[in-house]
Amino acid sequence: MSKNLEYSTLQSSSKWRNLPLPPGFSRSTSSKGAGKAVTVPSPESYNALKEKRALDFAIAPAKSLPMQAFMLYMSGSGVQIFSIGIVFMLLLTPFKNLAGMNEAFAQFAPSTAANPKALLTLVMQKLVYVVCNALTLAVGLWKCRSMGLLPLGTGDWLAFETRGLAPELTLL
Amino acid sequence: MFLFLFALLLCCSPLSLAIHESDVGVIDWHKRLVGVPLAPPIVLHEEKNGIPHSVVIVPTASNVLAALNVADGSVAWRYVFETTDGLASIRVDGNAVVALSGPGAATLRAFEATTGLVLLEKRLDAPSRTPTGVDVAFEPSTDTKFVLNTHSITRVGDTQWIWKAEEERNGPYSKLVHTTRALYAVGHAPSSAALHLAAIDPGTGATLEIAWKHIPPPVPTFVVAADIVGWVDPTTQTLAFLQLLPTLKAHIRTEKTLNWTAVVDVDLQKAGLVVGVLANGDAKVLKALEGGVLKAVHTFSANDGPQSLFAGGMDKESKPYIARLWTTVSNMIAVEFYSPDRNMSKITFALDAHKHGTVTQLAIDGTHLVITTSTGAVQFWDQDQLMWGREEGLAAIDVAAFVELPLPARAARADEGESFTARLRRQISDAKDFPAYAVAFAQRFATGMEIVTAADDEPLVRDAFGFRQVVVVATAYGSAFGLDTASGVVLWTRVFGLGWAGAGVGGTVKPLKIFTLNGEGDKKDVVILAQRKASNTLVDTVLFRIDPLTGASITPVEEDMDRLLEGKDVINGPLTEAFLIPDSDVIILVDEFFQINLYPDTDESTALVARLAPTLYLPFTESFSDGPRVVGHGLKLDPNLSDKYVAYRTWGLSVPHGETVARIVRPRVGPIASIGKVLGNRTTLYKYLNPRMFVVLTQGTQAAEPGCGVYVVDGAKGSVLYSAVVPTGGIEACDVHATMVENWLVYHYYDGEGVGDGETKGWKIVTVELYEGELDEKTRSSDMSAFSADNMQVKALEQSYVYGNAISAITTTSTKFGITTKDIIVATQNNKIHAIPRRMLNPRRPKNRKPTAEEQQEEQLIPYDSVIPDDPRRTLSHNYEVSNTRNIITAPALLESTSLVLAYGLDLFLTRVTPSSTFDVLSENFNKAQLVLTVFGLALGIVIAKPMVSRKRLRERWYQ
Repeated sequence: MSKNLEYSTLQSSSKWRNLPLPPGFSRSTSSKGAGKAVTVPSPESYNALKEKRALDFAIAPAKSLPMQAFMLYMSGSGVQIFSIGIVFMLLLTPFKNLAGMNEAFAQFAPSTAANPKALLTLVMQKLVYVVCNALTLAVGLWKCRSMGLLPLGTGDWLAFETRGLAPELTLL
Repeated sequence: MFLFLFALLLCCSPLSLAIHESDVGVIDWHKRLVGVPLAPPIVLHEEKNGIPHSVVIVPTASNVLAALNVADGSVAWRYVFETTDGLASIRVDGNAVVALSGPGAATLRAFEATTGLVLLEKRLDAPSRTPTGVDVAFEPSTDTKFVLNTHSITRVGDTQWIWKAEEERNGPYSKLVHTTRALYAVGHAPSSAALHLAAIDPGTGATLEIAWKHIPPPVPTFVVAADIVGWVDPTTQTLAFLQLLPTLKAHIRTEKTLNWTAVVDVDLQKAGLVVGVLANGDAKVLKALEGGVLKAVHTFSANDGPQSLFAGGMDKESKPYIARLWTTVSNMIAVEFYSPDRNMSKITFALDAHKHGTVTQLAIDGTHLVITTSTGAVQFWDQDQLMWGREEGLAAIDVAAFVELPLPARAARADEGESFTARLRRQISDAKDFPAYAVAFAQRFATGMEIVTAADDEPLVRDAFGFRQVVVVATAYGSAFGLDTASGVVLWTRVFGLGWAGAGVGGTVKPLKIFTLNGEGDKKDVVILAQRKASNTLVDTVLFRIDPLTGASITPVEEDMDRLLEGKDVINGPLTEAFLIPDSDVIILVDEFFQINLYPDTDESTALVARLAPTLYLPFTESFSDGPRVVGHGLKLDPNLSDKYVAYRTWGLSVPHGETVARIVRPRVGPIASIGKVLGNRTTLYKYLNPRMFVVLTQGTQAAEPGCGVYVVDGAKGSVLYSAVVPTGGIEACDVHATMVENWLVYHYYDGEGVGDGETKGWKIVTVELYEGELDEKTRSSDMSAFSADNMQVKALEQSYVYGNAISAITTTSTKFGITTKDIIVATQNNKIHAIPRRMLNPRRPKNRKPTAEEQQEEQLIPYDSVIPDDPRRTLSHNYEVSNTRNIITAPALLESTSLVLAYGLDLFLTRVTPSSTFDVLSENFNKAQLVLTVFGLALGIVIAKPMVSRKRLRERWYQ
């Protein structure tokens, strides 16, 4: 149902750029009355703006961390449906985010980028994004640990230990 | 949804601690026994409020004085004497039963015959030496009793006196005769060939006369009829008798015309009747007449049987009866009655010798018979009708084992090579059982109970939860029984045959060991190893392999079960020890020369032993001049000497000087669910699971520093892994009980030395857990060689607790997979069976601090408390009196949560325990109806809502 707003039509790189205008539509009508010179933003400043937006996007997970930490604190350390739900969310979203990272950053790709969905476009922002998601994951794991869900002790692996038969047999 | 269901389950199954009232008699049963009679029972008649009440009074080998109701054979009352208070003698007079017991037979008790109320309890002067003869005489129509104890006579009643004989010259006395003129003590010393007599004034205790008569050849025994003492001179075969006069001046008279062999006391002294047996097989009833004459009043003519039993008794009208019982050539039991006023009558009846053995004791009540058989059964016969019988041999169980039942035939026969049509036919034929199954299912669903049926017509098959099993027991009286665990019913009875000693030699068979082996199909066989001691002192070891369901012998195969159970002589000599090789069906039998005999003696078992021999170790106790010691043995084969393997000594357990080995406690083997104990903080203590270790209890009461030792020993090299010395409790023999399972040892002792500050005297229970080391430290003890350096690395955690009771047996529960917590089951001296929860006996219970949240949550640790509370909810035996329990055995049911517990001793008691509660079955009060209604309601909702929703969807499509 959702319709994608195609902001890219405004861009110079749009592939619809060479199409004829619809009948009765004039590019100059809106600016004619003002009499001002149309200040078309330069692609460079536009790219800088996008980079900034990309950085904002990259640190967004970190921004929501305090809120999530508070929710975790409030949910308690018991294994209940509420705390489990939150922990699942915390554990899953970083992976979901990272899986969709290239898609998500494509919109911020500079106009010069050959392939906006390539891994190496906006690499710095992506690294920040990865770190921020890792932070979220770490909070989730910390919560798991405090709930006793992480198999860290030897006791958690005891069931997988096996023992054979003793070489000597004593009949009792 | 699942979480919700789980939560619902949790809410509906509250932890049930005690047994429910409704479970009593359903999940448990109790057999109240009295023991095998030591002397012929005595029948007493009593009229209370116009209702006649007759009881059979029996003193038994289990140190019990009991009265059985004549009407149905139930126990009217019983008095269990303490172990130190051994029952010496009983006498019955009117409505009182008088018992002498204790050291020196110096404790006198009088019981009311029909109710068992103690009328009198009195401690008399104990003789300095072991009493050789005790007797009680009664003064008619008063409460006065005269108690004879070898050399002294005590009058107990309104006036009291003690009469003492000079020990050197007079006495010992063994019989007391009360007449109107005097009280006579009669005794004889077989060695000195003298009959000692004393006449005493019953009122004052003054000596009237003391005399002794020389009776040239020593006589084995004498009898008293009225005031006449009679005996038979075995060399000249003459009957001699002597009248008791206050002056003791009467002369010995003899009767020489007939060849007498014996005179038999038939307990009719007052009526003046005894029985004399003649060499030709005749028996004469002799009556004491006025003037000191014995006269034959009746003759039982010679019979066709080998030996006769005589018994006398009074009927309800106080008329004397005498009966003679013998086994006829056609193996019938024949009984002849004689009564002075009536015609003689004779009855014959059949007693299954292959089920009950032979008659050993006889008592009569009129023409009713109470017989005791060689297997310990007590039976009441009216003419040739058996009115009731009691299997009192069950009070002397030597070995017992649980045996699982086989699968129902329907489930078991689903074999592979079945053709399609055959299977179709089978399934159609099985479908006829469906209505019954549906009814059972509905019933089970509605009541929430698995009904373990115990109807007689039901075939012996495994039930859904494995609660129904067979307990095979073998008794000291040479018989074996199969008991149904669901009801306690005796399924079968077998009597051990004597093999070559059966024909003319005679002997006894004493069970030593019991093993359960795999038989044909999924059946189990029971192997009973027994020691047969023939009358000519030859000892053999006999093996009986029987089917636990029917009692039929498997090898040798037996078609006809109406015979004695014959076994196989496996060793011509005594058995030193027997072991079952785990995971096989081979039993190793060690004979007195330490040679290894195998059962079954096949090529496979020989090959198995040959393969295992280099690494096989057999620890057992051996007798040395300074007492028994525990010695470990290896196996070797020297073809030059013998074709059998021989056990040679490899190690001996050295205990401090003066200590001797009392007992070996073998660990309880079962599946080990976890090799470590996980603590609250996720670290692990690895259990020390050395499969070779066992417990040795020693006795050091004679040592320089008296103490009782508890040692845990490695069976391959004899090294001590854990040891403790506990106080002796100031008694002669150490009374330490121990049990061990996995790495957990529990022992119980009496601490009489706690005199320090804050210490108490009392019974202590100590719990010890052995670990491989500190936290997370592991040495892989369970598959490590005994000769590895790490083998000795053991860390013991232990704690001791005060326990409120003395115990007579201790064991742990056992379950199918070993996952369920193991509780300790003890039989307490106050006749109860108790369970002590594992949590109470956790040696990690923190002392002087609170357990941390993790410890509380994950380990369920509770703070240390020095006392184990006597929680009545933990009493498994309800309000039954389970007396003198000697041993408790446990067996897993098919349900992991449940373990069967059988306690045997004097009584038999069986119950089911669930140490971790019944986590694998829905609790009885689980609301199944609600669950079903909810599911049906939701299904109904779906059915109703589905067309509505689809209609709505369709409309949306049209009008959007």
